[in-house]
Amino acid sequence: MLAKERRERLLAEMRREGLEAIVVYGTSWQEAYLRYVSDFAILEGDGIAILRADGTCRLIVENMAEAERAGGEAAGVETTFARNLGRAVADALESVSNQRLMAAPRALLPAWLTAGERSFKLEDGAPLLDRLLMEKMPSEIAAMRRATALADEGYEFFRHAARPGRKQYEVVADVEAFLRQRGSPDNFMIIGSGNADVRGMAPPSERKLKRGDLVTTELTPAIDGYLSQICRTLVLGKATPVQQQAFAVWHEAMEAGIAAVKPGLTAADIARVENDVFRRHGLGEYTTSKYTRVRGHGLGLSTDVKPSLLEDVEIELRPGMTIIVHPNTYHPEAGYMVLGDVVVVTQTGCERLTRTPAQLFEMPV
Amino acid sequence: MRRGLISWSKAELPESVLDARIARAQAAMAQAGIDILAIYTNPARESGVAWLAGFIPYWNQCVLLLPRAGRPVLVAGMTARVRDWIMRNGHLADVTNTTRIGAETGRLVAQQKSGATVAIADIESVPGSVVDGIRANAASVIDGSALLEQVRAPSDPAELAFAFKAAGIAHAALAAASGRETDGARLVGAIDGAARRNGAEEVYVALATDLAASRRLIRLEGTAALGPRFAARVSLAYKGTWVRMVRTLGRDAMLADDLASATSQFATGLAALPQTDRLKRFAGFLIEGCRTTTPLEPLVGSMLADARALAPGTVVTVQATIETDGRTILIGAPVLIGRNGEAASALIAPQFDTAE
Repeated sequence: MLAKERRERLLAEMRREGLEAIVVYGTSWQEAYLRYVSDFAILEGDGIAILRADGTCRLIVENMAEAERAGGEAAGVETTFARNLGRAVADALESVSNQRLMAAPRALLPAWLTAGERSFKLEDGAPLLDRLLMEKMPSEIAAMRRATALADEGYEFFRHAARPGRKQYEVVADVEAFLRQRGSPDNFMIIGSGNADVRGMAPPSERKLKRGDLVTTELTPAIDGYLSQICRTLVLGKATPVQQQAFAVWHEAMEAGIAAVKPGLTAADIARVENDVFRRHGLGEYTTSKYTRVRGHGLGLSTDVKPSLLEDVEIELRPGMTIIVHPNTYHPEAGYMVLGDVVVVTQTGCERLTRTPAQLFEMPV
Repeated sequence: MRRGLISWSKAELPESVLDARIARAQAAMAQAGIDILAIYTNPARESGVAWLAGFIPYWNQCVLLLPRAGRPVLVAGMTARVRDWIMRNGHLADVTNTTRIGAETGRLVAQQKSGATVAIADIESVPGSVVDGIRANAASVIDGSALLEQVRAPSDPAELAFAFKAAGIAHAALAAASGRETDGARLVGAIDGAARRNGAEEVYVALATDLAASRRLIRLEGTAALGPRFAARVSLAYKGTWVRMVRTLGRDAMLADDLASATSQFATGLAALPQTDRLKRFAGFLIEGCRTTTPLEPLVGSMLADARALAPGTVVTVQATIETDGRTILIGAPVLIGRNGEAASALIAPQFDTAE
């Protein structure tokens, strides 16, 4: 149902733009465009979908297992396997080469498709698709609510799974199993544990959790393809005064950022509000790319849809956007800390979807 | 995106092994007049860089540049905050972090050698922006796929050890599945969790929830009831080496007999590899393996119009659909293709205890 609604919305945009076809590329870390168009969640290899103005959708994948899966998962899509994705798509576009075509993301298209000698021209379709990905329909926001609720449950599970003596990857394995049992097929998750020596989160390692560790995680389960996120920090034991004071800055920054979210402001405005809190506390250095990637970002059919909350991103906030505000970064005495809640932009401000308390959790050991 | 165990284990993959692989590649480059070998990587195309440098990106994209001498450098799409993590987990001379990966790769090509001949592995699949960046800064750009394939085969002992480890994890994960289970999501959770707890870097579980209705293996979103006979396929990686394994299980009275017969037929088919005549007798089969940068590339199969050679001394994954009086068994296992006349052999037999 969601897939049908998305495709109808895109087809209406294509009619408005006079497009004959839109070509979207997807791979496991850049899945949103492909999922939007074909409703296929690609895992292995690359895939490209071609949606024609008449509503027909063709998906070409380069992995046989994915072709089999897509045949059962992507309703209303004709799926084929091709050893050479670029050439297969080029062949498919020959018959419409004199018409208006768009593709996204162009920078990731196989080299064969973008070579100058092709008979067709692929305009940049990312602005159109990014807008649809960002400004969600009510049914998409409902899916985001369900995914956020699962993120809350997942974090509750994580808190109790993270115990001294356990290796990072064992804790993550338990969370993944919990999410699979709850019907979530996908999750993006990174983790950090330790103290001032920890400068960021990464995939789980063999490191054993220890008493006194700050344990950070970004947990991002998917429901019906929509990924929502939670960022929290816990202490294995009692938090030290340094940890508590540091966390208070993170909390102040996140709350200030969320309070500022409303239509008409830009992503840069929200990032600036968060970073101003750090600057007031003498921690401005830690808001730069040396220590942090973004101060939050959009969520939806991938873990990282636009807009990125950065002081140089002038994308305007609009109703229907779902965003996580997370002032995650390094603190020179406490180490890397994270805190982030998901909000949906409303007509007048925003509604917080995350229910987990925004606190530094102290776990008895 | 990856969230299993990703870390370079120097005990399992010593620097000396990676140095030997680099030397093999550089010798082939010298012979072919190639100055720089460029290998693209992302979480779906990790195998080339993982083999040469031990590095696996958990998300985003990177390009590895191997010069004629010395260790490779990595151009990474991740921000500088993970630079240390990358350097800890890859056998690299340096890392450059950038959001303009094509342009930065081109700049480094020009910096390494003016007027270079650059070979790009799997060039037609690499993003055009990367190829364009290199092309603008090199005298000539050629396809490096054949070179990479040539130096990768046969698998060295370290790569085989990873395949055996991955096969063991897959077997243990499927052994965690119960034929009495009636809920698809619970089954997936049991398999996924077991695989990750044993160190899998990534795990994909697909189910055919009721083989009497459909043989198609799909990923569940939500859950589904499991029929009297169902199948689970686990695809997983250990340190960049991927395998698949398939198990049919359930509660129907004929299952044990059908499994015994199918397992025996499958073993006979595997032993005959690289000849596939016996596999062709089944209702369907597919052999996948890694030649260059793609982990499980389709090589030979009943649905494939053309076939790729099965290189001796390499690991492939074989899946088969075996019918007995209209009843279906799906089975699959990783297999080592024999060298010097040796028979092919499953890394771990796809047999499971059916007594629960």
